[in-house]
Amino acid sequence: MIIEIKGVSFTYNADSPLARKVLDDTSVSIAKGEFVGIIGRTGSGKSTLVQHMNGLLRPDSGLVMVDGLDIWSKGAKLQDVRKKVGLVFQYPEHQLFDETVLGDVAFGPRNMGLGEEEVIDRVVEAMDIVNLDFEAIKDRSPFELSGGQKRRVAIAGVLAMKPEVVILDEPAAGMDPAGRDEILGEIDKMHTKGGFTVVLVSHSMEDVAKHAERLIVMDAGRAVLSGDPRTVFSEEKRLLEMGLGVPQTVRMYNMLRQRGIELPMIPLTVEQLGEMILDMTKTKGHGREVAAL
Amino acid sequence: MGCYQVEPVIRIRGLKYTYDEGSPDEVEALSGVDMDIFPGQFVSVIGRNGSGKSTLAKAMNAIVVPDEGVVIVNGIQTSDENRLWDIRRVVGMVFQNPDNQLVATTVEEDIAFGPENLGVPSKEIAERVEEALRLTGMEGFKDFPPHMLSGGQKQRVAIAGVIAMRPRCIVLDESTAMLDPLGRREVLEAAYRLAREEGIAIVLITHFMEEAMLADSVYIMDAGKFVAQGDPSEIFYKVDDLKGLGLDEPQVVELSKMLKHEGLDIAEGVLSAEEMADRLSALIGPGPREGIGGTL
Repeated sequence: MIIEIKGVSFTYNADSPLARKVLDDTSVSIAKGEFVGIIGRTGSGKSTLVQHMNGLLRPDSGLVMVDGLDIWSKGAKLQDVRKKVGLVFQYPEHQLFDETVLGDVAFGPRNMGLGEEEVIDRVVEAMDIVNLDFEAIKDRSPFELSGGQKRRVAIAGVLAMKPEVVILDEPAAGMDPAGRDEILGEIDKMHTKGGFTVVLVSHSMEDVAKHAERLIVMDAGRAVLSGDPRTVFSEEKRLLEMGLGVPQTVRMYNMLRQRGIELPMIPLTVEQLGEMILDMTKTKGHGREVAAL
Repeated sequence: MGCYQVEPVIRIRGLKYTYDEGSPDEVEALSGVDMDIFPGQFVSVIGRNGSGKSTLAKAMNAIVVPDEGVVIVNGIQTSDENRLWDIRRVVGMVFQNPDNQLVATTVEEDIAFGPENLGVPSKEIAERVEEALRLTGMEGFKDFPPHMLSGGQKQRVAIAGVIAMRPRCIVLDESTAMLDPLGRREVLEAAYRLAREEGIAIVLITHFMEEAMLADSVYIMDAGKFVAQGDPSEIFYKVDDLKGLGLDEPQVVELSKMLKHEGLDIAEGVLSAEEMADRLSALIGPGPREGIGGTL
Protein backbone atom coordinates (compact mmCIF):
# COMPACT_ATOMS: atom_id res chain seq x y z
CA MET A 1 0.00 0.00 0.00
CA ILE A 2 1.34 3.39 -0.95
CA ILE A 3 -1.16 5.17 1.30
CA GLU A 4 -2.91 3.80 4.38
CA ILE A 5 -5.33 5.79 6.49
CA LYS A 6 -6.23 3.86 9.63
CA GLY A 7 -9.02 4.88 11.98
CA VAL A 8 -8.55 8.58 11.32
CA SER A 9 -10.78 11.19 12.95
CA PHE A 10 -10.60 14.92 12.36
CA THR A 11 -12.64 17.83 13.69
CA TYR A 12 -12.51 21.37 12.32
CA ASN A 13 -12.59 24.12 14.97
CA ALA A 14 -12.29 21.64 17.80
CA ASP A 15 -12.78 23.37 21.16
CA SER A 16 -15.16 25.92 19.67
CA PRO A 17 -18.97 25.98 19.36
CA LEU A 18 -18.49 25.60 15.61
CA ALA A 19 -16.68 22.28 16.00
CA ARG A 20 -17.54 19.94 13.16
CA LYS A 21 -16.36 16.36 12.96
CA VAL A 22 -15.45 15.79 9.33
CA LEU A 23 -13.68 12.44 9.50
CA ASP A 24 -15.02 9.86 11.88
CA ASP A 25 -12.77 6.88 12.55
CA THR A 26 -12.33 6.12 8.88
CA SER A 27 -9.90 3.81 7.09
CA VAL A 28 -8.85 3.86 3.45
CA SER A 29 -5.95 2.43 1.54
CA ILE A 30 -4.51 3.10 -1.89
CA ALA A 31 -2.32 0.53 -3.62
CA LYS A 32 0.62 1.53 -5.76
CA GLY A 33 -0.37 1.97 -9.40
CA GLU A 34 -4.11 2.19 -8.78
CA PHE A 35 -6.55 4.70 -10.28
CA VAL A 36 -9.00 5.39 -7.47
CA GLY A 37 -12.09 7.62 -7.65
CA ILE A 38 -13.47 9.19 -4.48
CA ILE A 39 -17.12 10.24 -4.50
CA GLY A 40 -19.41 11.67 -1.85
CA ARG A 41 -21.66 14.60 -1.06
CA THR A 42 -20.30 18.04 -0.31
CA GLY A 43 -19.34 17.88 3.35
CA SER A 44 -18.89 14.10 3.36
CA GLY A 45 -15.17 14.50 4.08
CA LYS A 46 -13.60 13.84 0.65
CA SER A 47 -11.38 16.91 0.53
CA THR A 48 -10.43 16.57 4.20
CA LEU A 49 -9.51 12.93 3.61
CA VAL A 50 -7.18 13.69 0.70
CA GLN A 51 -5.57 16.52 2.64
CA HIS A 52 -4.57 13.90 5.21
CA MET A 53 -2.90 11.85 2.51
CA ASN A 54 -0.01 14.27 2.07
CA GLY A 55 0.18 15.59 5.60
CA LEU A 56 -1.56 18.92 5.02
CA LEU A 57 -3.86 18.10 7.91
CA ARG A 58 -2.92 16.21 11.02
CA PRO A 59 -5.47 13.69 12.30
CA ASP A 60 -6.88 14.09 15.82
CA SER A 61 -6.52 10.34 16.14
CA GLY A 62 -5.57 7.44 13.92
CA LEU A 63 -2.66 6.72 11.66
CA VAL A 64 -1.56 8.02 8.25
CA MET A 65 1.03 5.85 6.52
CA VAL A 66 2.74 6.77 3.25
CA ASP A 67 4.92 4.13 1.66
CA GLY A 68 5.02 2.22 4.94
CA LEU A 69 6.00 5.18 7.11
CA ASP A 70 3.83 6.80 9.79
CA ILE A 71 4.07 10.38 8.53
CA TRP A 72 3.47 11.89 11.98
CA SER A 73 6.05 9.74 13.76
CA LYS A 74 9.26 11.25 15.04
CA GLY A 75 11.86 11.38 12.34
CA ALA A 76 9.37 11.42 9.46
CA LYS A 77 9.75 14.49 7.27
CA LEU A 78 6.64 16.03 5.78
CA GLN A 79 8.76 17.36 2.95
CA ASP A 80 9.48 13.78 1.89
CA VAL A 81 5.81 12.89 2.16
CA ARG A 82 4.87 15.75 -0.16
CA LYS A 83 7.46 14.62 -2.67
CA LYS A 84 5.71 11.27 -2.76
CA VAL A 85 2.13 12.51 -2.71
CA GLY A 86 1.24 15.49 -4.89
CA LEU A 87 -2.07 17.24 -4.35
CA VAL A 88 -3.85 19.29 -7.00
CA PHE A 89 -6.46 21.45 -5.28
CA GLN A 90 -9.79 22.59 -6.65
CA TYR A 91 -9.30 25.52 -9.03
CA PRO A 92 -5.48 25.13 -8.81
CA GLU A 93 -5.00 27.95 -11.31
CA HIS A 94 -5.71 30.38 -8.47
CA GLN A 95 -2.33 29.42 -7.05
CA LEU A 96 -0.18 30.29 -10.04
CA PHE A 97 2.32 32.98 -9.14
CA ASP A 98 5.38 33.07 -11.39
CA GLU A 99 5.97 35.46 -14.27
CA THR A 100 6.48 32.63 -16.73
CA VAL A 101 4.98 29.22 -17.31
CA LEU A 102 8.44 27.68 -17.05
CA GLY A 103 9.09 29.37 -13.71
CA ASP A 104 5.81 28.13 -12.34
CA VAL A 105 6.14 24.51 -13.40
CA ALA A 106 9.84 24.40 -12.45
CA PHE A 107 9.24 25.84 -8.98
CA GLY A 108 8.75 22.49 -7.24
CA PRO A 109 11.66 20.57 -8.83
CA ARG A 110 14.02 23.56 -8.35
CA ASN A 111 13.03 23.63 -4.68
CA MET A 112 13.95 19.97 -4.47
CA GLY A 113 17.52 21.02 -5.30
CA LEU A 114 17.70 19.24 -8.66
CA GLY A 115 20.17 20.32 -11.34
CA GLU A 116 18.77 22.67 -13.99
CA GLU A 117 18.99 20.07 -16.76
CA GLU A 118 16.96 17.58 -14.75
CA VAL A 119 14.51 20.35 -13.87
CA ILE A 120 13.92 21.21 -17.53
CA ASP A 121 13.53 17.52 -18.46
CA ARG A 122 10.87 17.16 -15.84
CA VAL A 123 9.07 20.33 -16.89
CA VAL A 124 9.01 19.18 -20.52
CA GLU A 125 7.71 15.75 -19.53
CA ALA A 126 5.07 17.13 -17.17
CA MET A 127 3.81 19.62 -19.72
CA ASP A 128 3.66 16.90 -22.35
CA ILE A 129 1.33 14.79 -20.20
CA VAL A 130 -1.15 17.65 -19.91
CA ASN A 131 -0.80 18.52 -23.62
CA LEU A 132 0.91 21.88 -23.20
CA ASP A 133 3.41 22.88 -25.86
CA PHE A 134 6.62 23.61 -23.92
CA GLU A 135 8.38 25.67 -26.60
CA ALA A 136 5.29 27.68 -27.46
CA ILE A 137 4.33 28.82 -23.98
CA LYS A 138 7.30 28.37 -21.63
CA ASP A 139 8.16 32.09 -21.63
CA ARG A 140 4.60 33.38 -21.54
CA SER A 141 2.89 34.66 -18.44
CA PRO A 142 0.55 31.99 -17.09
CA PHE A 143 -1.98 34.73 -16.40
CA GLU A 144 -2.56 35.46 -20.05
CA LEU A 145 -3.44 31.84 -20.88
CA SER A 146 -6.99 30.50 -21.16
CA GLY A 147 -8.64 29.05 -18.05
CA GLY A 148 -8.04 25.47 -19.20
CA GLN A 149 -4.39 26.12 -19.98
CA LYS A 150 -3.83 27.82 -16.62
CA ARG A 151 -5.23 24.79 -14.87
CA ARG A 152 -2.90 22.54 -16.87
CA VAL A 153 0.11 24.65 -15.89
CA ALA A 154 -0.85 24.21 -12.24
CA ILE A 155 -1.24 20.44 -12.67
CA ALA A 156 2.08 20.21 -14.54
CA GLY A 157 3.73 21.92 -11.55
CA VAL A 158 2.66 19.01 -9.36
CA LEU A 159 3.61 16.34 -11.94
CA ALA A 160 7.08 17.86 -12.34
CA MET A 161 7.80 16.91 -8.71
CA LYS A 162 7.38 13.30 -9.89
CA PRO A 163 5.32 12.18 -6.93
CA GLU A 164 4.32 8.52 -6.67
CA VAL A 165 0.71 9.53 -6.14
CA VAL A 166 -1.17 12.39 -7.79
CA ILE A 167 -4.39 13.42 -6.06
CA LEU A 168 -6.73 15.67 -8.04
CA ASP A 169 -9.67 17.34 -6.30
CA GLU A 170 -12.39 18.09 -8.89
CA PRO A 171 -9.94 18.80 -11.71
CA ALA A 172 -12.69 19.37 -14.29
CA ALA A 173 -14.87 21.75 -12.23
CA GLY A 174 -16.24 24.59 -14.32
CA MET A 175 -14.91 23.23 -17.61
CA ASP A 176 -17.01 22.77 -20.72
CA PRO A 177 -17.70 19.17 -21.80
CA ALA A 178 -14.91 19.10 -24.37
CA GLY A 179 -12.42 20.53 -21.88
CA ARG A 180 -13.61 18.02 -19.33
CA ASP A 181 -13.00 15.10 -21.69
CA GLU A 182 -9.57 16.41 -22.56
CA ILE A 183 -8.45 16.83 -18.99
CA LEU A 184 -9.76 13.39 -18.02
CA GLY A 185 -7.93 11.94 -21.01
CA GLU A 186 -4.76 13.56 -19.69
CA ILE A 187 -5.38 12.08 -16.25
CA ASP A 188 -5.70 8.65 -17.88
CA LYS A 189 -2.36 9.35 -19.52
CA MET A 190 -0.80 10.19 -16.13
CA HIS A 191 -1.87 6.76 -14.98
CA THR A 192 -1.06 4.63 -18.03
CA LYS A 193 1.91 6.44 -19.56
CA GLY A 194 3.22 8.43 -16.61
CA GLY A 195 2.93 5.48 -14.21
CA PHE A 196 1.45 7.65 -11.47
CA THR A 197 -0.92 6.31 -8.86
CA VAL A 198 -3.99 8.51 -9.35
CA VAL A 199 -6.66 9.56 -6.85
CA LEU A 200 -9.53 11.48 -8.45
CA VAL A 201 -12.11 13.29 -6.31
CA SER A 202 -15.21 13.96 -8.40
CA HIS A 203 -18.92 14.81 -8.34
CA SER A 204 -19.43 13.20 -11.72
CA MET A 205 -20.54 9.58 -11.54
CA GLU A 206 -20.09 9.28 -15.31
CA ASP A 207 -16.47 10.42 -15.09
CA VAL A 208 -15.43 8.06 -12.31
CA ALA A 209 -17.33 5.18 -13.94
CA LYS A 210 -15.40 5.71 -17.12
CA HIS A 211 -11.94 6.32 -15.72
CA ALA A 212 -11.37 4.87 -12.25
CA GLU A 213 -10.49 1.23 -11.46
CA ARG A 214 -11.82 1.41 -7.94
CA LEU A 215 -14.21 3.73 -6.14
CA ILE A 216 -14.33 4.85 -2.55
CA VAL A 217 -17.62 6.33 -1.37
CA MET A 218 -17.54 8.79 1.52
CA ASP A 219 -20.58 9.50 3.65
CA ALA A 220 -20.69 11.52 6.88
CA GLY A 221 -16.94 11.31 7.43
CA ARG A 222 -16.50 7.66 6.66
CA ALA A 223 -15.52 5.52 3.71
CA VAL A 224 -18.68 3.42 3.53
CA LEU A 225 -18.22 1.58 0.24
CA SER A 226 -15.21 0.56 -1.76
CA GLY A 227 -14.93 -1.61 -4.81
CA ASP A 228 -14.73 -1.66 -8.56
CA PRO A 229 -17.21 0.74 -10.21
CA ARG A 230 -19.63 -2.07 -11.16
CA THR A 231 -19.88 -3.28 -7.58
CA VAL A 232 -20.32 0.22 -6.18
CA PHE A 233 -22.87 1.31 -8.78
CA SER A 234 -24.89 -1.86 -8.23
CA GLU A 235 -26.07 -0.12 -5.04
CA GLU A 236 -28.18 2.57 -6.72
CA LYS A 237 -30.65 2.86 -3.86
CA ARG A 238 -27.99 3.30 -1.23
CA LEU A 239 -26.10 5.84 -3.33
CA LEU A 240 -29.29 7.87 -3.85
CA GLU A 241 -29.88 7.87 -0.11
CA MET A 242 -26.40 9.31 0.29
CA GLY A 243 -27.23 12.15 -2.10
CA LEU A 244 -25.24 10.61 -4.93
CA GLY A 245 -26.42 8.79 -8.00
CA VAL A 246 -25.33 6.40 -10.71
CA PRO A 247 -24.32 7.06 -14.30
CA GLN A 248 -27.19 7.13 -16.81
CA THR A 249 -25.97 3.85 -18.30
CA VAL A 250 -26.46 2.18 -14.92
CA ARG A 251 -29.92 3.75 -14.55
CA MET A 252 -30.87 2.29 -17.92
CA TYR A 253 -29.48 -1.08 -16.87
CA ASN A 254 -31.65 -1.02 -13.75
CA MET A 255 -34.73 0.12 -15.67
CA LEU A 256 -34.28 -2.67 -18.19
CA ARG A 257 -34.05 -5.08 -15.29
CA GLN A 258 -37.36 -3.81 -13.96
CA ARG A 259 -38.77 -4.51 -17.40
CA GLY A 260 -37.58 -8.08 -17.27
CA ILE A 261 -34.42 -7.68 -19.35
CA GLU A 262 -31.22 -8.86 -17.76
CA LEU A 263 -28.06 -7.49 -19.36
CA PRO A 264 -24.93 -9.61 -18.78
CA MET A 265 -23.28 -6.94 -16.62
CA ILE A 266 -23.54 -3.35 -15.45
CA PRO A 267 -22.45 -1.07 -18.29
CA LEU A 268 -20.06 1.71 -17.28
CA THR A 269 -19.95 3.43 -20.65
CA VAL A 270 -22.38 4.00 -23.48
CA GLU A 271 -20.22 1.82 -25.75
CA GLN A 272 -20.55 -1.11 -23.34
CA LEU A 273 -24.31 -0.65 -23.05
CA GLY A 274 -24.70 -0.35 -26.83
CA GLU A 275 -22.66 -3.50 -27.46
CA MET A 276 -24.76 -5.50 -25.00
CA ILE A 277 -27.99 -4.37 -26.59
CA LEU A 278 -26.73 -5.14 -30.07
CA ASP A 279 -25.66 -8.61 -28.93
CA MET A 280 -29.08 -9.25 -27.43
CA THR A 281 -30.91 -8.21 -30.59
CA LYS A 282 -28.68 -10.53 -32.63
CA THR A 283 -29.28 -13.45 -30.31
CA LYS A 284 -32.96 -12.75 -30.34
CA GLY A 285 -33.00 -12.49 -34.14
CA HIS A 286 -31.14 -15.79 -34.30
CA GLY A 287 -33.58 -17.43 -31.91
CA ARG A 288 -36.43 -16.41 -34.16
CA GLU A 289 -34.83 -17.97 -37.18
CA VAL A 290 -34.38 -21.21 -35.32
CA ALA A 291 -37.98 -21.13 -34.18
CA ALA A 292 -39.15 -20.52 -37.75
CA LEU A 293 -37.29 -23.60 -38.95
CA MET B 1 -41.37 27.27 -29.52
CA GLY B 2 -43.71 29.49 -31.45
CA CYS B 3 -46.77 31.47 -30.71
CA TYR B 4 -46.66 33.33 -27.43
CA GLN B 5 -49.32 35.99 -27.24
CA VAL B 6 -47.53 37.80 -24.47
CA GLU B 7 -44.71 40.30 -24.40
CA PRO B 8 -41.28 38.89 -23.65
CA VAL B 9 -39.75 39.61 -20.24
CA ILE B 10 -36.43 40.13 -21.98
CA ARG B 11 -35.99 41.14 -25.59
CA ILE B 12 -32.51 41.24 -27.05
CA ARG B 13 -31.75 42.59 -30.53
CA GLY B 14 -28.40 42.90 -32.28
CA LEU B 15 -26.50 42.81 -28.99
CA LYS B 16 -22.76 43.39 -29.28
CA TYR B 17 -20.30 43.79 -26.47
CA THR B 18 -16.51 44.09 -26.43
CA TYR B 19 -14.30 43.94 -23.34
CA ASP B 20 -11.45 46.47 -23.11
CA GLU B 21 -12.44 48.12 -26.36
CA GLY B 22 -9.54 49.93 -28.01
CA SER B 23 -6.90 48.21 -25.86
CA PRO B 24 -4.59 45.43 -27.07
CA ASP B 25 -6.56 43.02 -24.88
CA GLU B 26 -9.78 43.82 -26.71
CA VAL B 27 -12.11 40.82 -26.92
CA GLU B 28 -15.46 40.80 -28.67
CA ALA B 29 -17.55 38.68 -26.29
CA LEU B 30 -20.93 39.14 -27.99
CA SER B 31 -21.15 39.75 -31.70
CA GLY B 32 -24.81 40.11 -32.56
CA VAL B 33 -27.29 38.28 -30.35
CA ASP B 34 -31.07 38.19 -30.76
CA MET B 35 -33.25 36.50 -28.16
CA ASP B 36 -36.71 36.67 -26.59
CA ILE B 37 -37.46 35.23 -23.18
CA PHE B 38 -41.11 34.82 -22.23
CA PRO B 39 -42.81 34.48 -18.85
CA GLY B 40 -42.63 30.94 -17.50
CA GLN B 41 -40.21 29.83 -20.19
CA PHE B 42 -37.29 27.63 -19.15
CA VAL B 43 -34.38 28.42 -21.43
CA SER B 44 -30.90 27.00 -21.30
CA VAL B 45 -27.76 28.39 -22.86
CA ILE B 46 -24.82 26.08 -23.53
CA GLY B 47 -21.48 26.59 -25.24
CA ARG B 48 -17.76 26.22 -24.69
CA ASN B 49 -15.83 28.26 -22.12
CA GLY B 50 -15.31 31.74 -23.49
CA SER B 51 -18.23 31.56 -25.95
CA GLY B 52 -19.95 34.56 -24.37
CA LYS B 53 -22.57 32.89 -22.13
CA SER B 54 -21.69 34.73 -18.95
CA THR B 55 -21.45 38.07 -20.73
CA LEU B 56 -24.91 37.44 -22.13
CA ALA B 57 -26.18 36.69 -18.61
CA LYS B 58 -24.67 39.92 -17.36
CA ALA B 59 -26.31 41.84 -20.19
CA MET B 60 -29.70 40.58 -19.02
CA ASN B 61 -29.63 42.65 -15.84
CA ALA B 62 -27.49 45.57 -16.87
CA ILE B 63 -24.22 44.47 -15.28
CA VAL B 64 -23.05 44.76 -18.86
CA VAL B 65 -24.66 47.39 -21.13
CA PRO B 66 -24.70 46.87 -24.92
CA ASP B 67 -22.09 48.56 -27.11
CA GLU B 68 -24.51 48.04 -29.97
CA GLY B 69 -28.06 46.76 -30.07
CA VAL B 70 -30.58 46.71 -27.25
CA VAL B 71 -31.60 44.66 -24.25
CA ILE B 72 -35.14 45.47 -23.15
CA VAL B 73 -36.26 44.19 -19.75
CA ASN B 74 -39.95 44.54 -18.98
CA GLY B 75 -40.10 47.37 -21.49
CA ILE B 76 -37.06 49.20 -20.11
CA GLN B 77 -33.79 49.50 -22.02
CA THR B 78 -30.88 48.36 -19.88
CA SER B 79 -28.88 51.37 -21.07
CA ASP B 80 -31.25 53.59 -19.04
CA GLU B 81 -29.11 54.18 -15.95
CA ASN B 82 -31.97 55.75 -14.03
CA ARG B 83 -33.90 52.49 -14.16
CA LEU B 84 -31.08 50.20 -13.02
CA TRP B 85 -32.87 49.04 -9.88
CA ASP B 86 -36.13 48.43 -11.72
CA ILE B 87 -34.22 46.22 -14.13
CA ARG B 88 -32.43 44.27 -11.42
CA ARG B 89 -35.67 43.74 -9.57
CA VAL B 90 -37.18 42.12 -12.65
CA VAL B 91 -34.16 40.00 -13.57
CA GLY B 92 -32.33 38.35 -10.68
CA MET B 93 -29.01 36.58 -10.97
CA VAL B 94 -27.55 33.60 -9.16
CA PHE B 95 -23.85 32.98 -9.71
CA GLN B 96 -21.52 29.99 -9.56
CA ASN B 97 -19.96 30.07 -6.14
CA PRO B 98 -22.43 29.42 -3.31
CA ASP B 99 -20.01 30.85 -0.76
CA ASN B 100 -19.75 34.32 -2.27
CA GLN B 101 -23.41 35.25 -2.42
CA LEU B 102 -24.81 35.04 1.08
CA VAL B 103 -24.20 38.06 3.28
CA ALA B 104 -26.27 37.84 6.45
CA THR B 105 -25.98 35.76 9.61
CA THR B 106 -29.23 33.83 9.13
CA VAL B 107 -31.09 32.52 6.11
CA GLU B 108 -34.06 34.73 6.92
CA GLU B 109 -32.00 37.91 7.06
CA ASP B 110 -30.30 36.99 3.86
CA ILE B 111 -33.56 36.59 1.99
CA ALA B 112 -34.94 39.79 3.52
CA PHE B 113 -31.89 41.82 2.50
CA GLY B 114 -33.13 42.75 -0.98
CA PRO B 115 -36.69 43.75 -0.11
CA GLU B 116 -35.43 45.70 2.92
CA ASN B 117 -33.22 47.71 0.61
CA LEU B 118 -36.24 48.45 -1.54
CA GLY B 119 -38.06 49.79 1.51
CA VAL B 120 -40.74 47.11 1.49
CA PRO B 121 -42.83 47.28 4.72
CA SER B 122 -41.70 44.72 7.29
CA LYS B 123 -44.97 42.79 7.36
CA GLU B 124 -44.74 42.25 3.64
CA ILE B 125 -41.07 41.32 3.91
CA ALA B 126 -41.99 38.56 6.33
CA GLU B 127 -44.58 37.28 3.85
CA ARG B 128 -42.15 37.39 0.99
CA VAL B 129 -39.52 35.51 3.00
CA GLU B 130 -42.01 32.77 3.88
CA GLU B 131 -43.05 32.49 0.25
CA ALA B 132 -39.47 32.37 -0.99
CA LEU B 133 -38.57 29.67 1.53
CA ARG B 134 -41.56 27.62 0.48
CA LEU B 135 -40.88 27.95 -3.24
CA THR B 136 -37.30 26.80 -2.84
CA GLY B 137 -38.12 24.01 -0.38
CA MET B 138 -36.11 25.68 2.36
CA GLU B 139 -38.81 25.96 5.03
CA GLY B 140 -37.30 24.94 8.33
CA PHE B 141 -33.94 26.58 7.60
CA LYS B 142 -35.07 30.14 8.38
CA ASP B 143 -32.88 30.57 11.45
CA PHE B 144 -29.86 28.69 10.13
CA PRO B 145 -26.58 30.51 9.57
CA PRO B 146 -25.79 30.14 5.85
CA HIS B 147 -22.39 28.54 6.49
CA MET B 148 -24.12 25.55 8.08
CA LEU B 149 -25.87 24.72 4.81
CA SER B 150 -24.80 22.41 1.99
CA GLY B 151 -23.87 23.88 -1.40
CA GLY B 152 -27.28 23.08 -2.89
CA GLN B 153 -29.03 24.63 0.09
CA LYS B 154 -26.90 27.77 -0.17
CA GLN B 155 -27.77 28.15 -3.83
CA ARG B 156 -31.45 27.71 -3.02
CA VAL B 157 -31.15 30.49 -0.42
CA ALA B 158 -29.53 32.66 -3.09
CA ILE B 159 -32.50 31.87 -5.36
CA ALA B 160 -34.89 32.61 -2.49
CA GLY B 161 -33.21 35.99 -2.02
CA VAL B 162 -33.89 36.72 -5.68
CA ILE B 163 -37.49 35.48 -5.44
CA ALA B 164 -38.16 37.84 -2.53
CA MET B 165 -37.62 40.67 -5.00
CA ARG B 166 -40.60 39.31 -6.98
CA PRO B 167 -38.66 38.99 -10.22
CA ARG B 168 -40.09 37.94 -13.57
CA CYS B 169 -36.89 36.20 -14.63
CA ILE B 170 -34.05 34.41 -12.85
CA VAL B 171 -30.70 33.85 -14.53
CA LEU B 172 -28.68 30.93 -13.17
CA ASP B 173 -25.12 31.49 -14.36
CA GLU B 174 -23.48 28.08 -13.85
CA SER B 175 -25.14 27.98 -10.45
CA THR B 176 -24.86 24.20 -10.30
CA ALA B 177 -21.20 23.95 -11.35
CA MET B 178 -19.82 23.51 -7.85
CA LEU B 179 -22.57 21.30 -6.45
CA ASP B 180 -22.78 17.59 -5.80
CA PRO B 181 -25.42 15.49 -7.60
CA LEU B 182 -28.11 16.00 -4.96
CA GLY B 183 -27.39 19.73 -4.74
CA ARG B 184 -27.79 19.99 -8.51
CA ARG B 185 -31.09 18.13 -8.44
CA GLU B 186 -32.41 20.37 -5.65
CA VAL B 187 -31.56 23.59 -7.47
CA LEU B 188 -32.97 22.37 -10.78
CA GLU B 189 -36.18 21.16 -9.22
CA ALA B 190 -36.65 24.54 -7.53
CA ALA B 191 -35.99 26.37 -10.81
CA TYR B 192 -38.32 24.09 -12.75
CA ARG B 193 -41.11 24.65 -10.24
CA LEU B 194 -40.69 28.42 -10.40
CA ALA B 195 -41.10 28.35 -14.15
CA ARG B 196 -44.07 25.99 -14.19
CA GLU B 197 -45.99 27.13 -11.14
CA GLU B 198 -45.05 30.76 -10.73
CA GLY B 199 -44.56 31.74 -14.36
CA ILE B 200 -41.05 33.04 -13.68
CA ALA B 201 -38.77 32.80 -16.70
CA ILE B 202 -35.61 30.79 -16.03
CA VAL B 203 -32.38 31.18 -17.96
CA LEU B 204 -30.05 28.30 -17.10
CA ILE B 205 -26.45 28.65 -18.19
CA THR B 206 -24.73 25.32 -17.77
CA HIS B 207 -22.00 22.93 -18.86
CA PHE B 208 -24.12 19.91 -17.98
CA MET B 209 -26.00 18.60 -20.98
CA GLU B 210 -28.35 16.57 -18.76
CA GLU B 211 -29.48 19.88 -17.23
CA ALA B 212 -29.88 21.69 -20.55
CA MET B 213 -32.12 18.83 -21.66
CA LEU B 214 -34.78 19.92 -19.14
CA ALA B 215 -35.35 23.28 -20.82
CA ASP B 216 -38.18 24.21 -23.20
CA SER B 217 -35.65 25.79 -25.47
CA VAL B 218 -31.88 25.37 -25.78
CA TYR B 219 -29.50 27.92 -27.30
CA ILE B 220 -25.94 27.05 -28.30
CA MET B 221 -23.41 29.88 -28.22
CA ASP B 222 -20.11 29.95 -30.00
CA ALA B 223 -17.77 32.91 -30.53
CA GLY B 224 -20.30 35.41 -29.22
CA LYS B 225 -23.25 34.25 -31.31
CA PHE B 226 -26.06 31.74 -31.23
CA VAL B 227 -25.24 28.97 -33.67
CA ALA B 228 -28.30 26.83 -32.94
CA GLN B 229 -31.60 27.06 -31.12
CA GLY B 230 -34.39 24.56 -30.65
CA ASP B 231 -36.09 22.21 -28.27
CA PRO B 232 -33.73 19.76 -26.56
CA SER B 233 -34.38 16.87 -28.90
CA GLU B 234 -33.72 19.04 -31.97
CA ILE B 235 -30.54 20.38 -30.41
CA PHE B 236 -29.10 17.06 -29.31
CA TYR B 237 -30.24 15.03 -32.33
CA LYS B 238 -30.04 17.48 -35.21
CA VAL B 239 -27.00 19.65 -34.52
CA ASP B 240 -23.92 18.24 -36.21
CA ASP B 241 -20.63 18.29 -34.43
CA LEU B 242 -21.66 19.11 -30.88
CA LYS B 243 -18.14 18.10 -29.85
CA GLY B 244 -16.66 20.67 -32.22
CA LEU B 245 -18.68 23.29 -30.33
CA GLY B 246 -17.09 22.19 -27.04
CA LEU B 247 -20.21 20.25 -26.05
CA ASP B 248 -21.22 16.64 -25.88
CA GLU B 249 -24.29 14.44 -25.93
CA PRO B 250 -26.27 13.21 -22.96
CA GLN B 251 -25.63 9.46 -22.58
CA VAL B 252 -29.14 8.54 -23.74
CA VAL B 253 -28.61 10.47 -26.96
CA GLU B 254 -25.18 8.91 -27.48
CA LEU B 255 -26.73 5.46 -27.11
CA SER B 256 -29.59 6.27 -29.45
CA LYS B 257 -27.19 7.49 -32.14
CA MET B 258 -24.94 4.47 -31.69
CA LEU B 259 -27.86 2.08 -32.16
CA LYS B 260 -29.07 4.00 -35.18
CA HIS B 261 -25.62 3.77 -36.69
CA GLU B 262 -25.87 -0.02 -36.28
CA GLY B 263 -29.21 -0.08 -38.06
CA LEU B 264 -31.49 0.10 -35.02
CA ASP B 265 -33.39 3.33 -35.56
CA ILE B 266 -35.61 2.96 -32.52
CA ALA B 267 -35.02 5.95 -30.30
CA GLU B 268 -34.60 9.06 -32.46
CA GLY B 269 -35.37 12.12 -30.37
CA VAL B 270 -35.53 10.24 -27.07
CA LEU B 271 -34.04 12.16 -24.13
CA SER B 272 -35.01 10.37 -20.94
CA ALA B 273 -33.57 7.14 -19.60
CA GLU B 274 -37.11 5.86 -18.88
CA GLU B 275 -38.27 6.38 -22.44
CA MET B 276 -35.08 4.74 -23.71
CA ALA B 277 -35.64 1.72 -21.46
CA ASP B 278 -39.20 1.43 -22.80
CA ARG B 279 -38.03 1.47 -26.40
CA LEU B 280 -35.31 -1.06 -25.67
CA SER B 281 -37.63 -3.43 -23.84
CA ALA B 282 -40.04 -3.25 -26.77
CA LEU B 283 -37.12 -4.23 -28.99
CA ILE B 284 -35.42 -6.99 -27.07
CA GLY B 285 -37.87 -8.54 -24.78
CA PRO B 286 -41.19 -8.60 -23.08
CA GLY B 287 -41.39 -7.48 -19.53
CA PRO B 288 -43.69 -5.85 -17.06
CA ARG B 289 -44.05 -2.11 -17.52
CA GLU B 290 -43.37 -0.03 -14.49
CA GLY B 291 -45.11 3.25 -13.82
CA ILE B 292 -43.11 5.98 -15.43
CA GLY B 293 -42.65 9.31 -13.79
CA GLY B 294 -40.87 12.28 -15.24
CA THR B 295 -37.53 12.85 -13.59
CA LEU B 296 -35.38 15.85 -13.24
